[in-house]
Amino acid sequence: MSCEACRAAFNHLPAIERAACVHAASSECCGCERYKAAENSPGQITDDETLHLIISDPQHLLNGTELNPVLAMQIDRGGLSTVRDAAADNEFVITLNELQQRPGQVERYFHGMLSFRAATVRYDEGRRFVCIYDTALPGKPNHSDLMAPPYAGSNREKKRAEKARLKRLIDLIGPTFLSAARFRNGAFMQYARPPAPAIEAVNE
Amino acid sequence: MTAVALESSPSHLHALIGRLLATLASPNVAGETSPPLSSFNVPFHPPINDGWLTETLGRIERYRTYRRGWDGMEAPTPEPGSLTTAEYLASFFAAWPVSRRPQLALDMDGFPTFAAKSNEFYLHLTVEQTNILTWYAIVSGAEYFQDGVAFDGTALPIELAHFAD
Repeated sequence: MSCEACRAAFNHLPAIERAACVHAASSECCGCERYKAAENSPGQITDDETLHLIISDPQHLLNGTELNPVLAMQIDRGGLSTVRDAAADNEFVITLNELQQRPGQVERYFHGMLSFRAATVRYDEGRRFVCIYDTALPGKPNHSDLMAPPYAGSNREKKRAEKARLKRLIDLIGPTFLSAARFRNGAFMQYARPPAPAIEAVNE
Repeated sequence: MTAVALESSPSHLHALIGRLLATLASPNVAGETSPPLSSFNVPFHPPINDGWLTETLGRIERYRTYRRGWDGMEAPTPEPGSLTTAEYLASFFAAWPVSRRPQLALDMDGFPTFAAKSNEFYLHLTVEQTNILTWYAIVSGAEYFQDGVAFDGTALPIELAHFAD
């Protein structure tokens, strides 16, 4: 294992293979947590840090408060992106601008954040659960990724185990959703979905 | 803008629901399941004015316009047959208690996915191919997992049907 091997794995393409590639870059579980993805990173993520998961599509929430497995499944693919609480507002602005300018057919708005302590998902009942990698990006030194170690076994057993883990991750994070209006006192409301026009205005 | 217009048009959604019911009732439509309503093994009373069903069918209609990269990344185009399967599923889920009706979304593989979570109930169901379902569920503390279950639209698989109780 080396810093170079981990950095190469953090940038692996196609992205959907990234979690498996990062895991394979180290002989120990979550070994690449020790290394920075880039020199601009503030360093290894500690258990006490708060991480923020941006919700840019309301379908990514269940019951309006909890993580939907359709988003959580990124832990087994390219990594579930989070932003460390140490990030300055400008770093969130860069991220939100990128989300809104992303091509595709899904309208992205800043609906809010799921916020949780790193230790909440790093361990489950004292054992390692999800790896949390420092994956600093240009202009976004506080970017991080949650990735899960791959399971062995048959396709069926692997699929069952991954889905069970998604459920557990959703439970561990819990109903921690904070709306755009409440996160950092509404500092990023310009990225929220504009209120629907009044019916009278539509009819005009 | 087109998708917004479709989503907000009640007449369009009523037409969509009508099409779904017509499909259910008409035999042998090429490429789609087409069971007679009489073959349903559970009481089926299509709730035409049901808000959950209207929203879910509207979402499926929007997903039919999605093409590769719809998520701004690498997600594949959702398969039309899988979306049809999701429509059939929705017609069954509409008869479930409100607290257990799952929410529809597309996952990054382009698979229609129904998910629900409450204290005693968790469901993560994926339509991985036309007429093929995979689900993981926790019901009152018991785990259920099934992979590659056939569903032709005429009846919910027995285990899945029991989740409504």
